[in-house]
Amino acid sequence: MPTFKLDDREIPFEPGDTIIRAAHRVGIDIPHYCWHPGLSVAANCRMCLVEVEPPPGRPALMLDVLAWDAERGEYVPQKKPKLQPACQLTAADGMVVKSQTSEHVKRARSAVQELLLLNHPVDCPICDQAGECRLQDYWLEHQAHKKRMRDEPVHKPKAVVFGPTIVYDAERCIVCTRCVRVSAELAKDPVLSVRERGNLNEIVVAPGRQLDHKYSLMTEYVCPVGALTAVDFRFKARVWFLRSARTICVGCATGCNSFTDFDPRSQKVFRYRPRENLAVNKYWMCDDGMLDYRRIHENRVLEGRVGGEPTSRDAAITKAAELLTGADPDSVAVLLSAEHSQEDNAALLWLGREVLGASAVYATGRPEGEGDDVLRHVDKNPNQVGLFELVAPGAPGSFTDFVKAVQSGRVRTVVALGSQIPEPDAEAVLASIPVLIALSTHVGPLSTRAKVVLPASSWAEADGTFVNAKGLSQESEQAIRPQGESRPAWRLVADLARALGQAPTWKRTDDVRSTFNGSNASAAMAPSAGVSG
Amino acid sequence: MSDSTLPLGPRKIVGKPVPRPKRGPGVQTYLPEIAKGLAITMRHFFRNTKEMALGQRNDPSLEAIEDGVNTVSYPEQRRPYPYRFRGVHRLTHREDGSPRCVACLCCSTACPSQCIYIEAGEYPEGDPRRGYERFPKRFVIDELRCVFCGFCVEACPCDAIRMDTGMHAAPYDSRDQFIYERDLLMGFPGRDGTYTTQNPRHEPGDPTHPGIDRDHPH
Amino acid sequence: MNMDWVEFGLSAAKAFAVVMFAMNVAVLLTWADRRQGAMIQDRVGPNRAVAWIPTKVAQALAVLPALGVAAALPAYVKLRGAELTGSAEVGAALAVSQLAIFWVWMTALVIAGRVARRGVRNSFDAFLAGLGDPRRIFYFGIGAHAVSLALGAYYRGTETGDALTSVGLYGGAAVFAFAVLFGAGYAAYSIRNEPRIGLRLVGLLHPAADGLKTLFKEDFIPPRADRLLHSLAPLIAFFPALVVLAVVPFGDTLCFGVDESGSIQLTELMPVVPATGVCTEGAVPLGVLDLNVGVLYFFALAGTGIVGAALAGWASDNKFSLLGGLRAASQMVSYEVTMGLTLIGAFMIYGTLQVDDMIRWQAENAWGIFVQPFAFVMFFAAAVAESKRIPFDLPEGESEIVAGYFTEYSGMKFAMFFFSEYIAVVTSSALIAAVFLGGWHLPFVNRAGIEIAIGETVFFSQQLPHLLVVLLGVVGFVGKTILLCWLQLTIRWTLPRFRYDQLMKLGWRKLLPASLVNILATGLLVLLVQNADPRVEKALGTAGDLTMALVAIAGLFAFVRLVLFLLEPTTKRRLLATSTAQFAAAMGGTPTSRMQA
Repeated sequence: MPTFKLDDREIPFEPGDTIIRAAHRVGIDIPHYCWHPGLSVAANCRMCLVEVEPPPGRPALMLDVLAWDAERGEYVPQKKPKLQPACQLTAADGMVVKSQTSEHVKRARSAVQELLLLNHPVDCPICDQAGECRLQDYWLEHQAHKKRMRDEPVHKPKAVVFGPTIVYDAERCIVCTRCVRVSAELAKDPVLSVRERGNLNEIVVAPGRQLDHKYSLMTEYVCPVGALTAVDFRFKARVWFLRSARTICVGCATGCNSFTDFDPRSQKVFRYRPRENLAVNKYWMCDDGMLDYRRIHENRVLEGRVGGEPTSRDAAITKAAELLTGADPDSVAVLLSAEHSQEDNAALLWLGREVLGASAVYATGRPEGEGDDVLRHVDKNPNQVGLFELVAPGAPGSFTDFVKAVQSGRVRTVVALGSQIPEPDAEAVLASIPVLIALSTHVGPLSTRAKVVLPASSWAEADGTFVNAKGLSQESEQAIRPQGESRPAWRLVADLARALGQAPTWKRTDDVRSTFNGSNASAAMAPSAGVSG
Repeated sequence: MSDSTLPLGPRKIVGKPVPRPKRGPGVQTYLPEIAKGLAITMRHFFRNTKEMALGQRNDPSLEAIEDGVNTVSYPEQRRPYPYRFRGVHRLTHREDGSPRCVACLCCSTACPSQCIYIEAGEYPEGDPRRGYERFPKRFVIDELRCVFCGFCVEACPCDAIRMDTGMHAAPYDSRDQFIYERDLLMGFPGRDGTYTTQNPRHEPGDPTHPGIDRDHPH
Repeated sequence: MNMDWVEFGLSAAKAFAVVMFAMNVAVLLTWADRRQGAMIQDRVGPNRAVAWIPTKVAQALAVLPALGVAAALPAYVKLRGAELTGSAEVGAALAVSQLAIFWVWMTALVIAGRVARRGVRNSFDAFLAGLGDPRRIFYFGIGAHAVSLALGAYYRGTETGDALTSVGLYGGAAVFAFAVLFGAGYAAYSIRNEPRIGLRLVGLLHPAADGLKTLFKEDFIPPRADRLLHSLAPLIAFFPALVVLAVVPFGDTLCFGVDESGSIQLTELMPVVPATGVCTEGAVPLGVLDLNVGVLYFFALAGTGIVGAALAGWASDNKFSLLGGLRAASQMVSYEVTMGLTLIGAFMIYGTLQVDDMIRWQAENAWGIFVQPFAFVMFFAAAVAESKRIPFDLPEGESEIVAGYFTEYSGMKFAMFFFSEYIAVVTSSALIAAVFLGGWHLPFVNRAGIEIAIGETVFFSQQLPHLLVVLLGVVGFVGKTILLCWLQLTIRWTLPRFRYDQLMKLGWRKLLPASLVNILATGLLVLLVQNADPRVEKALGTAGDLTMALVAIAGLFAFVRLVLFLLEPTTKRRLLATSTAQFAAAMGGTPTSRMQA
């Protein structure tokens, strides 16, 4: 593999790589605003300038400049090397690049940083980006001196509503055009562009349009400063109070990798951020997925229910065990859910087969929705493929089969996971089941029609494994503690089994995982590269 | 004995001789020492009693370095607080009487005792600050948890929280009463009697204000 | 015993007096322990309790007693003056004139002090301030005393002397009445503009308020405690401490006349009694009980106090209480032994167990502290340990076992434990005063009057009325007791707490052997003295008189030293380094408070 030298360190690169990408790959951060690994190169922020030594035998390209000589009190002519943007310069074998070791680079970065902050309002206290703002970080790291401009900064529009999800503040904007490129390249909807020049330029929405494509929140995500803020997250929290868990988005079968940002004090989730995984979602997530975190707190089932009446979890488990005792194994069916993790489903499958003696296994999940060819999948269940892996050999019966079995009277006792059904019209059928026990996270057809509801934790409250549409098994970390009385569904299953007189052999997540992981060894935590770009 | 003369083999551990404190019969029988102690006690007692009885006791502020009774009899006698005394917090006002605070949570971040709780709110529709600034819907300080370190004042970028009320924490009879809400905190004036601060603040409509947009600069 | 109603009434009165004495001194001690104990730490202790009285009432309280006093003395002089003759008249004139001079300069000094503190407000203040330093008033007063005494001595027996006697008697009475009225009137006048007057009594109201408070506090009994014993324990701890005073006489025996049937005539007190011996009939000893077992009664009852502490510890159902109770029991039992053994030497010398006889022996020979100095020290230490107070307060060592045996006590029951400690201080002090410091005996005061004599040589002799002699004795006894109490408090303020093993070591390995040696040595000495020839006995008598002289001189010296100490000027340095001090200086200093010394 060819290498080049960056600050006395040999950096390997693949042909065609730019310097910044090769450095990024080995974990060296060359300061930058406009470059993003998932976007095209704009090279307009000039923050990533590096000094490149000329090839052997060739003279260096030098510029004539005037430098202030404090002793003589006048400007004196000087020569300085022409600096190159690392984001645009393709690496070549044997190239010698100086980044931190070059005085010229340091001065250039300081000057760029000062320029970018010339007209900045410095309203960090009321800015939601504060704490994760590139301007703050690089000001601390690279800016050598204070702003020297004494003039009134240029005033530009503030709090401009770009669309239903995004608000724009032109004064904070450094016009790196990341958002413009995201719209054009990721969402294929070039709705943003730049107008005016110099210190007056700003981002605008195309006339007659709104920023309303399905990847609008990615513009906020890539914005390195506080210019674009999400309506959803605005003024809600300060980022330094938030902690992140590495999770999987459960919005659809794509299984995008995400960070769940939550406040550990209030145990409240505030947002998702995309987590880099080049095999699945690269650097991105869709708006639906980004806002899916709300379901963690909304519409939840947080206590046991018997006959629709709230009760304690333990009472509900006792009641469920009572209903299941003595049930005819032939009339018992378990309803797995593609909404839930492998752990939950495996536990329920074990309950059905080993404890209740049932042979009938069916699957439920959320109904299909719309998709596109970027990230959004038609199947809105995160774990459809996983169910087939669990039940194999053989396959779980479809929900349509389940409805038929119920209507024929063959299935009279059902233990179901999840809260949604793929066929909303079939809700009335659920009511006709004599014994329906649901382990539900949310209020939905299953939880409203069930005789007994056990409160299950959502994906953010437990570790879990999800198999996406491509068959890739991915782990999701627990973010917050289980809310209310809810517990992970596999724990509820264990409690139920114990109440039925047969304790499971597994006690921890790892134990459950080992029951289905023997054949399918691909479950591993996907590599996460932190905040991408 | 120098190192070179030490015999081979395991070294003998040589302790450093520490002189025992000399305890003569006077110390061992206690009595003379007790008498000395009693003499010191009584010297203090008689001197202080005489000074109290004859009205010659120290001024606890001016003669605090002197021997003698320096007690401040609090409600009747009060020491003036020094200039930089950190008292109960106050939230400063803007010209229009709204809080200067923009709910940035810098104070609660800096607070080592985590006694500040802030709920940010957005200005109502029609307010020029809507979408641009936020304000503290709730601003709660638990004065019982507060350690009066003043970090919140240091951290505040807007000069919105100050501890210059000159008031010390008041005693109450229940813990709830130490929970100071926003309106109470805004009700304390500074030592100069004003509710604002000397530091200027650029409001919308003010010539020094950054402006909402280019078309409406002020 | 054939006791008639008079004797019964007298006994009840004496018992009442003793109990009131112990309780009141104990209250004073609770006050002193906090208030004065704070003073040694350079701070003002609790003195915030105040009773507000209307200005008119305060003025009346100042003026009415003054009116009474001012009327009584001249009236007495007027009525009885004619009856007095000879040396009695001279003595009365001397007393009245000295009293008048004292009252005049004292009143002037007090007012001058106040003027110096709060500034001139009227013409009299201006006059006093014009005199300059208030010390001049004191020097002038001393001078007046000296001059009047010198004049009296110089003109004694002459015509002028008689005239001076009349002037001293009648003029002195008039001047005294005027001074008293003027002082009271000045006080009433100077408070006329106050809305109300706070009665603070130098913080003495504070223990009263505390006592009142404990009455209303929650009376907590732990749920699993033994309710009966838990409630009984404070009583068991409280009463023995109180009743042991019964055997300690607080004054010399009073001699009354008797009627034909042999019962006492309370109206006929002997005017003057012989210097030695006690009247055979009509004698009223000033002690509740004159038991022939005397001090043994004290030990018996003091030992009962252990039961209270141990019971409290056991009945509280709390391990800290139990530990405290055990500690209290073992500590008190250990020191009980020492207490008993140290006194045996004294018993051998005095030849009696009766406290009254002990005091008489000391009055005739020398105080116990001089004949049994080691016993005094050891008994004092053991008595402090017996009262479970610092440095021996391990039963309630709060750094180790919360509050020891009274951890689970609150309200009045706790106060009873607390109070019984102070009563134990009073009773032990009273006993020490009786056994070692001559009880009610004062140096050179015998039943007939004052007689300053060393050996056979008599320097001064003056007969005094019987009542006066006995009253002097009572005052002396009370003074000694309070002095010893205060010494115990001072020890408490000074010494740190012992470790428990040190406590036991001190008791068993040091005090106990030392007391045994003391017994042995005393026995040998007693044998030697009994077999010595009369000259040695005579020398010992002289030596005893010398000890009396020593006590008298020491007391005089202490008094003079105190006066000189009070006269010493106080200088204070001001340091305006801090902004606080600068603020305060700009305001004219920290405002004065209503606190009292």
